[in-house]
Amino acid sequence: MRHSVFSILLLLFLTGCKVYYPNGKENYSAIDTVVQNPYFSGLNEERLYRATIHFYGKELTGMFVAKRISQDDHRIVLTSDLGNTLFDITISKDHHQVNYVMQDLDRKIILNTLVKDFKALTQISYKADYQNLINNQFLSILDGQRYFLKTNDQGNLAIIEITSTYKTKFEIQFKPDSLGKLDSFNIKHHGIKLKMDFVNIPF
Amino acid sequence: MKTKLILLIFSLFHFALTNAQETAMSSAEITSFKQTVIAEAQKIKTLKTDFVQYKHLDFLSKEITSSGSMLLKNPDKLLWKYNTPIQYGILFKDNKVLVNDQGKKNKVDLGNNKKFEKINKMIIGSISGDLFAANDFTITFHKNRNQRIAKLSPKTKDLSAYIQTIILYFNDQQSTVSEVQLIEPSKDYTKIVFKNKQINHPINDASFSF
Repeated sequence: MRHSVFSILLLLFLTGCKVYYPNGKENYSAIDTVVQNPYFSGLNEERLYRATIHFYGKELTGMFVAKRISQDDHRIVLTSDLGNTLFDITISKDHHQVNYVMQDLDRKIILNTLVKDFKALTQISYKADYQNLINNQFLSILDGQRYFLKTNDQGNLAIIEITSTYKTKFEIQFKPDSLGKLDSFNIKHHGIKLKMDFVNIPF
Repeated sequence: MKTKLILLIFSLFHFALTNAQETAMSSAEITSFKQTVIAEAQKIKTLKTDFVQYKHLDFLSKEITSSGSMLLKNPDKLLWKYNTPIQYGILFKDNKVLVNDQGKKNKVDLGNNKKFEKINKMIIGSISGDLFAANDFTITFHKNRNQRIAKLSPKTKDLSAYIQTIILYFNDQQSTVSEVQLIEPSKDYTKIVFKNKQINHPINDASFSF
């Protein structure tokens, strides 16, 4: 008896949590392709961005660089406007190394968030498992994370939405210029009040 | 002919080397240098200068360059303003910090930003030589052909977590800083070069606003 009550509750709970699809599950069909993220893929390419970070009502500004320094590694650095480095992290597919982090930001939760964000930002390609033709969207499932990848009319990657099975964790929006170079981008979190805006500046 | 050429190359190389070579100052030189710099710093009522800031990150092929101007009116007004690559200014006035980020103005309460204040004071204090009077640093003094050099290492962990060494360069016989290098624990550094320095020229109070 107790077992069947538990089963019913579990069934109710599971049916109540619908698997998240931004545009209805019925529009996705299986596919085997690769979606390219070209923006930080050029080996040794250097572009400078002005960063504005909004975190629970506080604002932090500075200079941001994400450079592909080898086949597998990206170096991600944020400095303040006065020049001092706030963080400097090397990110690869399976690991990361904190080269420097300012004392105030040296918290596991902050670093893990930054690493997850910038890993998604700099990942060069995503293997897509499903496609939604109506919205130019692909779904890539990797290590329990779901990546919804939306392309624009020119076929360039425009949005990466990173979700768990049931809800959005964060999304990255890319705004390329007419040549496909990244003019600006932003990273917006849904569970925490964190938004990061980046605008390309001369270097 | 060949010998002459070798000699010429050698002497040119030697000249370049001696020009850049650093030697420690004698204790008499240190005493006189410190006295002059502190005395001159105390005479500064106003200071106006342009600057170029170079941020060196080892993995980049070139430095991140910013430029702007700085206005100082002792004892309590300071404006640090970038014009390129973006318009950004920090104003220290009446124990408050105001930031103007491309037209967007924010007030920063110093009480909540002690570290921010400390870092900025350290950068700013290094311009006028004020840091010599502070007890927060171990200082060594050096010289080369054209410059006198002070190397400051923070004594407290609080500061050394941000800056490993501050190097102040005084060109020729100048008593105010010509160039500052702020070396971080990672060895990356920020170099600020000052030019068009004007000392004790009148600066209107209204200049210290956004």
